[in-house]
Amino acid sequence: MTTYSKISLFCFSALCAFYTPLAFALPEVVVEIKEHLFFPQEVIVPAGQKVKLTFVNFDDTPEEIDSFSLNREKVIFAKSRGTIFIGPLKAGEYPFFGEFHPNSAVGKVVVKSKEDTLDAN
Amino acid sequence: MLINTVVLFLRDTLPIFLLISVLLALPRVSTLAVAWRVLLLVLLAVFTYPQLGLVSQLSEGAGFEYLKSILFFIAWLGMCLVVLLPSRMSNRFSLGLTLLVIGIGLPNSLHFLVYFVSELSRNSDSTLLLLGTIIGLGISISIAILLNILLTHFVSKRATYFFATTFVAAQTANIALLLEQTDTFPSPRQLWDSSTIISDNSEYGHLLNSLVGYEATPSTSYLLVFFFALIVPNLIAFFSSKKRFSDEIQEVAQ
Repeated sequence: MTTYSKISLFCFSALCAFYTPLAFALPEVVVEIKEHLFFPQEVIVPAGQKVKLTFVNFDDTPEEIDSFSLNREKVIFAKSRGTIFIGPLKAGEYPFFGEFHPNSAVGKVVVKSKEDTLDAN
Repeated sequence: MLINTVVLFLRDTLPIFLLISVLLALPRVSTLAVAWRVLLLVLLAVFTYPQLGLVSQLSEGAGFEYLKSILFFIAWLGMCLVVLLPSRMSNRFSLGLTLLVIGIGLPNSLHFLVYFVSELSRNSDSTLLLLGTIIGLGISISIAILLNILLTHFVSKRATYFFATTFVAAQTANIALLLEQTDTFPSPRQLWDSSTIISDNSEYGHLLNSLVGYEATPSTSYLLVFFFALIVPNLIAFFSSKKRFSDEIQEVAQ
């Protein structure tokens, strides 16, 4: 095995070791978009942990999820789904809204400590 | 709907108008050269828009983010070509301009197109939508003209180049946000929170974000990408101008 192959194999193994446990351990929360409203409007996630937030758009029009506090922005096309990863976050409230329907499509991510999250669930 | 259209138009298309303004302030860039590239951008946006739904579903729903990341990277490459020996490598300079306009223009214009087409098809009366677009267009053009006057009349060419690289670095830094969002970059670490001074949501926040990439809560990767994207073109500009200067001295000596 050449030095180049050894380095490549090492880098690949390091990447797998870094990403694989994260990908499998991530909690997922699903938010549905119906009639330009989020269901649920309030999402509770644990503090200090990365979370997979999946939006499923049941409407016939696209929606753009935007959150200034989370630094996230994503277009969810009509009748489709999209995922964003958030965190690790400190305990608190992080509002998000639909850019195309900012008056109705409003929600928030509530980040709680692990103990509080278990109680909430 | 009127206010929302104006806000979305400014957020999505202001960077395009700022880019045009900055490019026209650079030496050796004609209005015609920018005009045909903007026309090319419009054609590309119209062609790409129908494929967006399909693109967005690629890579487990992260296709649009990857597409935008690639385009911002292309814009950054364009900036590197523009600052690389601009007077002699005219083909590279020309290619650099094209990459800049497409790389920054396409992701931003597609965002507004998604909103515009969806609202156009949803509402029978599109007066407010068109009015909002016209108002947004007027504000964008006004800001772009003011910036162009500032860059062409009040600052040196070197400062204009530096501002151009800062503006492009700000756009390129969006790659970090997009890749954090898709979990391609590792967990983001927020460095500070200046939202009490200037919020991302405010008018100043929007303008500063478009101009210099202001973020109230930047992550480490955002700042790393921003400074890398800023420093490399400036180093290229520095060394290429140094080389050109020494070449000219040699020519004079011969």
